[in-house]
Amino acid sequence: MLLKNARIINPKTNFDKISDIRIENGIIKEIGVDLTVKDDEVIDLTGKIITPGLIDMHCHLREPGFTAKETIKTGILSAIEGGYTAICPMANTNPFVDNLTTLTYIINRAKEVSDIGFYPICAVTKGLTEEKIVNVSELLDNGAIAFSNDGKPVENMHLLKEALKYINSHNSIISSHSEDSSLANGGVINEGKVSARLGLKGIPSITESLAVARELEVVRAVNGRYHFAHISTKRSVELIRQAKKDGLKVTAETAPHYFSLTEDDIIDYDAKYKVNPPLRTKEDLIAVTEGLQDGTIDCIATDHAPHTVHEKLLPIQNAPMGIAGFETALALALTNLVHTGKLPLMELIRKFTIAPSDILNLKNQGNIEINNEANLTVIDLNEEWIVNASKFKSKCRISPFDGVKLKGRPKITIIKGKIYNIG
Amino acid sequence: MEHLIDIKNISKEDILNIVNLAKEFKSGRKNSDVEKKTLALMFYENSTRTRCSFEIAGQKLGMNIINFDLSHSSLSKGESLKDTIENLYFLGVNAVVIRHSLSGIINNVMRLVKYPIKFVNGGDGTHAHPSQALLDFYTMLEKIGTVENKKIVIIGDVSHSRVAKSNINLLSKFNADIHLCAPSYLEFESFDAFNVKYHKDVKEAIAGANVVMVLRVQNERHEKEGYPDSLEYKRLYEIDTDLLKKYASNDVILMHPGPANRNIEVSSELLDNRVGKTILEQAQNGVYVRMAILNTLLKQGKEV
Repeated sequence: MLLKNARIINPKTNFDKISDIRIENGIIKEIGVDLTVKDDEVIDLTGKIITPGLIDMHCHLREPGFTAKETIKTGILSAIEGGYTAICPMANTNPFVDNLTTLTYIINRAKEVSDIGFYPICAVTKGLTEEKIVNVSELLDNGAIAFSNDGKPVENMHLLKEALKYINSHNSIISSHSEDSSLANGGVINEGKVSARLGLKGIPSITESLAVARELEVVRAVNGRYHFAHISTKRSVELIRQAKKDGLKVTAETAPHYFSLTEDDIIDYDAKYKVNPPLRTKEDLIAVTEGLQDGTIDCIATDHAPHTVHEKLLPIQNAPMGIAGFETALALALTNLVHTGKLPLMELIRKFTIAPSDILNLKNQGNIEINNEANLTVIDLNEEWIVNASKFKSKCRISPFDGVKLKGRPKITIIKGKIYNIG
Repeated sequence: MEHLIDIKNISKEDILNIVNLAKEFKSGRKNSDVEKKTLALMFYENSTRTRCSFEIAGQKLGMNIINFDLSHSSLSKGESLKDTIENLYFLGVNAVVIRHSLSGIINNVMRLVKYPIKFVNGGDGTHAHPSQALLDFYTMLEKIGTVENKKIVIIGDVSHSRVAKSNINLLSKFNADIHLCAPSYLEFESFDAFNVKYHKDVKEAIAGANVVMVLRVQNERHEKEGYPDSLEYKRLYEIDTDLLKKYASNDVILMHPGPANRNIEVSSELLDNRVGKTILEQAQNGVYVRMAILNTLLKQGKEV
């Protein structure tokens, strides 16, 4: 197969040039200008961009246990529709992915659907409780990539310290859902002027930054390698920025809704805006954007957290937290970061590809290189389109971005040389 | 005015129309535009005066009243409330008054209900209590003529009070000088939420006040959140005759949405004297104001 005339952007080598890519048997065989057509199938991508396949290091596929919300199949199809060639599902299913049987089950289910890079993040502790660290080496040897109790914080600092040391000693990391549950307790949206006006229990911004600060002390003490998931507040960004200056081996991600929406967007008690961490203030949004600009925030993950439409129509207090993320993530980033001039395209693509690949030590993902697997995403930078949640491949056909006009989107996802057309 | 959900979205003109119509009812107007229409009272939370007040208002207008007592049933799913309301509509109910512990539940259910039934918010969570604000406003106008530039002080659990919020939203429209007085743990989470002045000291707050509105101390909530007990509150914030005499304006009126905790947020002695009688007049005015609300919302509505 020959991909012709696309602008190839490969952040690892800072490569940005119109070139052709030849793929044979799912492997990139040749990259160059005006490659000769042999007996390949030719796809003309004039005007399009090819990047390394997008990587999502934070999503929820809900299977096993919550298959009304999403299945591994619908989740993967949704990810492919979003341009992703690798995803990292979180462990808060039922049963939890804290044991070999469940881990093996989800990996096999994923294989039935596609060849997408499937890198499960297993629980840090058994049952996501504060009691016992999982069998780290066994899980890593059987397909786990990292560890997280995402959905819940680890608040027992002794356990966190021991888990971090042990997981790091096996060359893996913890991805932290940083939250102080005593402050989050029962909150619905960000605590502030909007929660006060609406009469909704608030989740203070220190719910997150307090946990970040506490965990940073643990990381410092054990010289650990640690990742902060879904960063949403100004103070968290500042704390992580300082930690990086101090030489701590920490990385961080944010999700598109934290640089696209604020608490002011929450209208009419609509639970489609309900997410954890909650949508914050304008000031936080600006700080998150600055964190992306100066590298404090390394990557953009979706935190794809699907729920049924029925659940999201419940009163906002009773509705579950989470936003479907795969099918809008890249477009939101292009629209709100690249087309606004806040982030160069190269840097944005870095945050979707090589940055998460480096954090997780992924092979064959995040880099366009000869003899690598052909995991690629074709992007139209300028196509204007309107989000239609009712057409999502995800089972979660409700979104705060439904009806919103975006600029730029993925067009083709290529997984091990296999073409998946989008839209 | 299509529905009465949140006073924030009701125009000044609509508010004054309700006040004027309430005045007519109070002065003896018998003419109802909503006779034989059907009103359902759906109270998922305890209430005495609001429920009775709407019931009496409806009766005086010649309406049929269906009275639910739902305070013991739990409602966790918005869609089941939607189903109930759509069923009521097909049974011939023209309007529902809903009281519920969840803020915004009426906004939520209105988005889901497909039929033209009228919604009246009888108090939702810590969000809004628009009919209370209207009757408070009515009472203020009756007693002091105008609220413009009048010092109106709301004292107590403002952050959890739907009455306070609806009053602030209404009185702001009429350029009242609004002051709040509360201990730190009962203040709004953000001083930017409303354009009002804040006080910790009750004497400073009520200095020269024209209206002192005392809110109910919600003991259960204090227990749950770990706040100091009500005696600590009483030490600093209880309103009594001496305090009003010494600091407030001579013609100050005392208001309370009820039910009052005697000798906690307000002294028993004050409640029972001439000043305290305004609180009973508030309740009485509530009937006329609610007649005006129902008459206004339903007069153009078509029969089912």
